[in-house]
Amino acid sequence: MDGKAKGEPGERPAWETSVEILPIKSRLIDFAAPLHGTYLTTGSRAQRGYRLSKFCMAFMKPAFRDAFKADAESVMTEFGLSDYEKSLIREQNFNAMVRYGVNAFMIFKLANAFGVNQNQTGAKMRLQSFEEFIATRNVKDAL
Amino acid sequence: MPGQPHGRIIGGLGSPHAPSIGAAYHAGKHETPSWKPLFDGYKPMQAWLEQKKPDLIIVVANDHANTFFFDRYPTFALSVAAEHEIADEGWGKWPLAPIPGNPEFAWQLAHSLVDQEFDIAVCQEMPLDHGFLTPLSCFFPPERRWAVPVLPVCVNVLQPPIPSAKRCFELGRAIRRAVEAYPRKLDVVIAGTGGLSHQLSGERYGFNDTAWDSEFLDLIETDPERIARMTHQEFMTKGGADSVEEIMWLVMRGALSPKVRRVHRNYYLPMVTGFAQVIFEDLGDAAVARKAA
Repeated sequence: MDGKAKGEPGERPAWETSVEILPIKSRLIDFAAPLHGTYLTTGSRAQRGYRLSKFCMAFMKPAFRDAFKADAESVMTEFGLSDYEKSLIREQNFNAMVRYGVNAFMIFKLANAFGVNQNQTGAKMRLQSFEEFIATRNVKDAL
Repeated sequence: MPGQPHGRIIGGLGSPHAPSIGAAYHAGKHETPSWKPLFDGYKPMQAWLEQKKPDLIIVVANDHANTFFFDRYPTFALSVAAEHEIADEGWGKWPLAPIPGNPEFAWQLAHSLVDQEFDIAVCQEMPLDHGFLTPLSCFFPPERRWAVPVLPVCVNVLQPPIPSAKRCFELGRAIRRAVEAYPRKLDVVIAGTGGLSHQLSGERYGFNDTAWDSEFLDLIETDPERIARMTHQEFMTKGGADSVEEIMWLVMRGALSPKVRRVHRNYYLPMVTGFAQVIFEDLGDAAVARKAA
């Protein structure tokens, strides 16, 4: 997979909606029976998400954070992200990023540059509004 | 080694390491109603550490893509650094001074572990993230930071293949043997860190199971070998994908005597992670040490 959305504009890659079975056999994890809403960063998924993961890591440098906030498009292009990867960032589509192969702890770094905190990111991963998500919690302001 | 000075494990601590805890602490929220039930759980731990005065605290935590990246990712790693920088996780460093290590013992531990066929990666630089900074910030009040040197041990729980629960339990046993074989006085506390039930990605973000968390806390104390037999699939099914980090509690428990004296246990689930704290005092079973020979 080259990491690009295929076909007509607006068409989304299969991994965004289908349950992807990684061809890995392990005594410890049953990859043939993935848990609902769970996308482990390994195998071909980790390989696919590697470049975007590396991009997220760059946010550990203050200068990169400043540059992204000033001109995100230029920074993404200079880094060599694909059109699909750029679209995920523009959309802040954290759900698809996880499915694409980016570990949550890397996504949190990117999300923070948009002023989006961990639980706001999590709500988006759940495909919920933050209000819908927070209503499911025991202590609403333990943030 | 009767009569001769040597190292010993005096106890184990269990603690969450969520970044929200450290952030709340540094923002002075520890007395607010939302956070007090958690931070009150650290008070007995601070008092216990002050009373026991350990010479070293081994902290078992995982990197969260701050110390390492997936370009090269160690299954097990330890730090031999004299000092540990605070990592910038993407939003600035926490207001903490660098954390001292103990290179002499850390090198010895590295050799002892590899001698025992635990082929651990050895790091001369290890910037620490919230996995270490949250528990350490809470174990010691500001005026006693960082009086006790820290030996960080990292376990990969981020990118499968992840080491088995049994392997982690055995790593703890190997650490105990290394400590007990050390020919100097060294009182060691070992901390296993990580949240109980939680999942931080995908549509299952926010999954918890408090009944399983309670059972885990019973088992880690009284029957850790049963947890050590669990697969990652079982951990993830019962407690959410990220609860697999409970294997780091097994490193701590494996380093302790088969029976322990529990002197503290607390549990609180405010938001997305089951937070648990324990203190287990070691009962000094010599049988474990004899196997080292």
